[in-house]
Parts: sequence; structure tokens; C-alpha cells
Amino acid sequence: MSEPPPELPDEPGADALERFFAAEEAAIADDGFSKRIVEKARDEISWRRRIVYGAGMAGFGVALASIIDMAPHLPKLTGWVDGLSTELRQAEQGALDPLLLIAAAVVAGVSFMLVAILSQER
Amino acid sequence: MSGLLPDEQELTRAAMAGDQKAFGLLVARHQASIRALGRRLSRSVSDGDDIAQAALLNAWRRRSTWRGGSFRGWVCMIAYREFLAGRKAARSETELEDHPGASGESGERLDLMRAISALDESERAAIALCIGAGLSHADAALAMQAPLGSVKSWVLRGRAKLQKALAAYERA
Repeated sequence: MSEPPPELPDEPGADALERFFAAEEAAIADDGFSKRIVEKARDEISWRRRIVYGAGMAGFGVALASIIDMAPHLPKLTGWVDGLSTELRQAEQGALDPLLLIAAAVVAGVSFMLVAILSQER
Repeated sequence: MSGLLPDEQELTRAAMAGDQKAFGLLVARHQASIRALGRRLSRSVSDGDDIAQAALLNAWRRRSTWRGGSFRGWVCMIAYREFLAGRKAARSETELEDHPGASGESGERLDLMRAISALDESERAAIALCIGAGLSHADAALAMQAPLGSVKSWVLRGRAKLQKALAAYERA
């Protein structure tokens, strides 16, 4: 590094010491240092975003694939809400159905993804 | 502060909320003092800049842990911890190589940097944090994880030694 040496202050004492430090700082030029820091910070955000989105989408895909696998067990769309409430009532009595678990998994997955996206924006 | 420049607190709040532009402005504004602190602590230009870079990037990563106060002070505290962590890792590997004043040319005017290098490590760190970076004794004590009284004493002793060096320079 070829920065010029800081000038020494005029007189000794506490103020002189502070002036010496100030002169030393003034001699440190921003030779692209700030730009490099900001670029690295931006790169980190970009990677974090890719990881979070990737993980979220993968989780969503797994949930979706599970639903497709469970298709034969799913109730007809028109009866879905009634079916869900029946399932909930049954669940209260201790008889859990895979459908309910899948619905809960999808809701949880989407919620986690939303929380993750909101968190990584901070 | 000039009215043309964005307010420091506003900028810090924006940066800590994830505003990259505000963070960039703060980095540009304080890079010299943070690098100077790193260099004083490590007694090396390249190591000092590495410490400053690591501290700033850590500040960005851990911005959700910021609890108010000065950006510069906060980053300086992180920089001191980076210095300690780096020193611990490198202790067994190398001795300090390029610290100012190491060449020791005879007949050369007294170099204050040499006097700073000659301070005890605690004194140098306390001086760098309190006088160089402008941290309060309490903040420096927090960063150094040392009792407040010890920090005050290190600053006092270090300052006295440096003043003596400055006086000698004046006489030369």
C-alpha cells in the first residue's frame, strides 16, 4: 500500500494525539474498498435469496408431489370443505386422516416459505 | 454534519433495515476510521484492511442484532472481536511482519507509530478504540470484555507514553 504517511501534529499533548489519529485516517483513501464491501454484501444477499427460494420451492414441490401421490384418497373437490370439517371433527376424536396431514403440511410449508422470504429481505 | 449529507442516524436505521444504498454510504463515510483501527490493532496495513472488511461484512450480516447507537462504534467493536479471532488463529503461525516502525532506521525522526507499536497490547487496543475510534470507555470495556477501570487505566497509561513520545519528537 503506498499511502502517504500522515503529518505529525504541531504540538504534543492529548489534542495532538487525536489530531495525529485524524490525520492518519485522512490519509487512508477509499481505493475501491467501499465498493468491494458493498459488492460482497450484495453477492451475499443474492446467494441467500437463491438458497431460500430454492429450499422453499423444493419443499412446495415435495408437498405437491405428496398430494398427487395421495390423489386416490382425496375427496371430490365439491365435498372438500365438508370433508375437511368432518376430518377435523374426527381428528378431535383422535382419528387422524392422511388428508388432514397433507393439508396441514401444505399450509405449514407455504407459511414457512413466506416467513423465510420476509426474513431474508431484512 | 452538513445539511446536504443524509443524517447519520437515518442512514444507519435504513442500512440496518436492509437498505444496501444506505449501507454503502455508511461504509464510504467510515471506511477510513475502521481501516485505521484495524491497522492500529494489527500493526499491519493488509491485516488491518482484512479486519475492517470482515467487520463491515459481519455488521451487514448481523444487522438485525443492532440495538441502536453509532454505526461506527458498533462496527469498531465488531472489528476488535475480528482482530482477536484472527490473532488467535494466526498466533502459532507467524509473528507480526510489517508493522510500522519495525525497520528501526537510526537517525530517523521519532515515529509516533513506532511508539504506538511499542505499547502493551491492551494499552494499544484501548488507545485505538477510545482515542482512535472515539468509543466511550464503557463501550471499549464491552468490546474488550475487560473491567471499565482497567480500560481507563490502559488509556491513561498509553496516552502518557504516547505524549512522551510526541514531546520527544518535538524536542528532536
